[in-house]
Amino acid sequence: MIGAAEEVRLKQIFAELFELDPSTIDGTTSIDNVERWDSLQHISMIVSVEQEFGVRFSEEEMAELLNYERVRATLARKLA
Amino acid sequence: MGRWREDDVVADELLAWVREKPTVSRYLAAARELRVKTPSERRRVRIAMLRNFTVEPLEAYLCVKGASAGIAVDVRVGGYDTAMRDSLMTESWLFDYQPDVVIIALSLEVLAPTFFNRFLTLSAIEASEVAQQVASSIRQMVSSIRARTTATLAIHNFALPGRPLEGLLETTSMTSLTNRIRSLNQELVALASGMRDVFIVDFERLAERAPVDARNWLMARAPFTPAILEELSDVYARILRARAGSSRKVLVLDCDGTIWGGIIGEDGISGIRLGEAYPGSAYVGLQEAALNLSKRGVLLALCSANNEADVDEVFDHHPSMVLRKSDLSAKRVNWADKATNLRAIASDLNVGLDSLVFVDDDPHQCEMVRTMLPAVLVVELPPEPTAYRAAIESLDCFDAAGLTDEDRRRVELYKNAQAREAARESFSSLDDYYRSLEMVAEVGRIDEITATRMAQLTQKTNQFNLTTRRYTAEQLLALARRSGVEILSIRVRDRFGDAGLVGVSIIAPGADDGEAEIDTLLLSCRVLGRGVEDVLLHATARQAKELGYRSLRGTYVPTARNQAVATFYPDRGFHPQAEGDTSWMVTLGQVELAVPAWFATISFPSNLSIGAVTG
Repeated sequence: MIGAAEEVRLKQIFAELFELDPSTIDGTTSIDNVERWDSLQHISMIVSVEQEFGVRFSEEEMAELLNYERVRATLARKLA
Repeated sequence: MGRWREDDVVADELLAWVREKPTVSRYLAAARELRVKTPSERRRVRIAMLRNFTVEPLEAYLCVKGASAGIAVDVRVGGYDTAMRDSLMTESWLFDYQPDVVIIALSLEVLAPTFFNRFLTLSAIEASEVAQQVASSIRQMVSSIRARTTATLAIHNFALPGRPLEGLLETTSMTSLTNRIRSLNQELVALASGMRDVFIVDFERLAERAPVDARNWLMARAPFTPAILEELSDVYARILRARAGSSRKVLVLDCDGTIWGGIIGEDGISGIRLGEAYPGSAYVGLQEAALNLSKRGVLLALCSANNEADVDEVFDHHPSMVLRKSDLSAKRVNWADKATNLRAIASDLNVGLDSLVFVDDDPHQCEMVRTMLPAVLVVELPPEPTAYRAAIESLDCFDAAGLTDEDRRRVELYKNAQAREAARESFSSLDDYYRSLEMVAEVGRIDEITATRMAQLTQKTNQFNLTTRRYTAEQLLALARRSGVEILSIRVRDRFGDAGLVGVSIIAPGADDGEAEIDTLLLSCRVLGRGVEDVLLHATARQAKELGYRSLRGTYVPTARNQAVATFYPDRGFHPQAEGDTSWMVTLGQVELAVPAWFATISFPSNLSIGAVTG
């Protein structure tokens, strides 16, 4: 599970990178519907989440982190 | 688009917000916001990046670090495979953009993949050919950019292979990949050292401290970890600062606990810690680092709460002192507070507080100076003296765009100034005193040799500077080639020594036909108040007339530092053009622009001769 505090931090990263209002970030937020989420920002997002939470995503995980929900769930698994 | 922060956030808060937690996402968000917030009237420094891999988050770091140094930047990044084409073709975005700085960041792995990745499949001859091709490509890029722009160049050197390919032979064999890349990097040094305003970004050393992330490299061609981004953008910011001339000039040292261990007033000369053995060796280390800085042209000063006689005794008699009194350009050893003393030191040396770096081991003193004199850079020494040397050597605020003879001799120049001051006190009239100096002024035209120093003066001079226009050497030389433009320098010496090249004036075509405009008129503060400015103005007017101009316009552009010259032109008979205007005119030949009578000799460039002294 991911705690409320962690979720706030995660949403903040998305907000900063993709210029979003944190309250609008939810399970539907994905690379398909966020204008600023392109392949360049994608790698920045991964590095930022890793930096913030001190984790490292595997190559396999990297390919799947294409929406907020997936990032949240993968991070939750790593922090468990 | 939603908001991620309130609208009214000011740039300073934004920078503090990034410093508080320097993450990739904060840099990106802050850079985006800074682009919006920077007032459009301030011209941004245009930075072009030629690259062959993903550099993108770096652009945001550069933007934020630039802003922290007070420099607004605009960054454009070229395509992945177009660096060569962009710099070699006349019709390219690079030249349309008119960059102030061009960063060439090329990965050898992309530039010469076989060389880097399958090195051992190449014969020695093949490998040598590839290395030569790489070096020659970079030379071509540099010379093409140089021919078409006046931009400062920052060229990345190449990272060594992450691991040796040939085991122990890697370091032994001249033809190993490691040594091939090292020689390639040496070639870049040779290229840069022969040119002005070219810097090598030491990516070789950087990549070793902060290795590339193989996963990000292979999956996204993005080699940079947050650690590299930080370090690399620090180097870029240093180059921007050096280019802008915002380097500091004076290292002010505390005594007790800083240049020696213990307290001289209590421990006495035999009790303080200073010498070959630890812990005295740590303090020797700090002094050696300071001495090296002084050889780069940084002035050293002392600021200590002590009895002056006690401190003098150490300087005169302690066998392990590295620094000598003659290495110091200013000294305040007394019981006044450090803020007062630092102000006095700045005034002694005729520099602003923003030129000072203050080094002290005492956190309270440091905090006091930080609070009272925010313009001074405070270096609070770490608790362990063994780390002192590194604390001094890590200072990145003394970079100059190029080291000139004047830099190397600056300490000596200040010595001469002190002797001159002493002589001044023995004369009753100022005129007699000036005559006794036997001053010689030489006016000359800009050339390849003097351009670096002249550019440095445009970058660094704040007080006696009528327009405060900053130029690089390349820009000056390019400007000098235009028709109707003349760039003059003035050198001054007297019986106390040679002050070197101390003034610059630039004549450019004005708005109206027959009118010349004084684009720049400046004088180093070390020769102020001796009439050198009148010689320079006189020469400027003569040369303008020589070029066929009928009138000369002088403009004063006010800044925070140049109020002293606000009435320079009207004081010398220039006429105002309109009420409240800050530009003035003279008709050449009508007003006498006199040179002071106390100069022993004044010489002008060949087509100018001293004669009837009129404008």
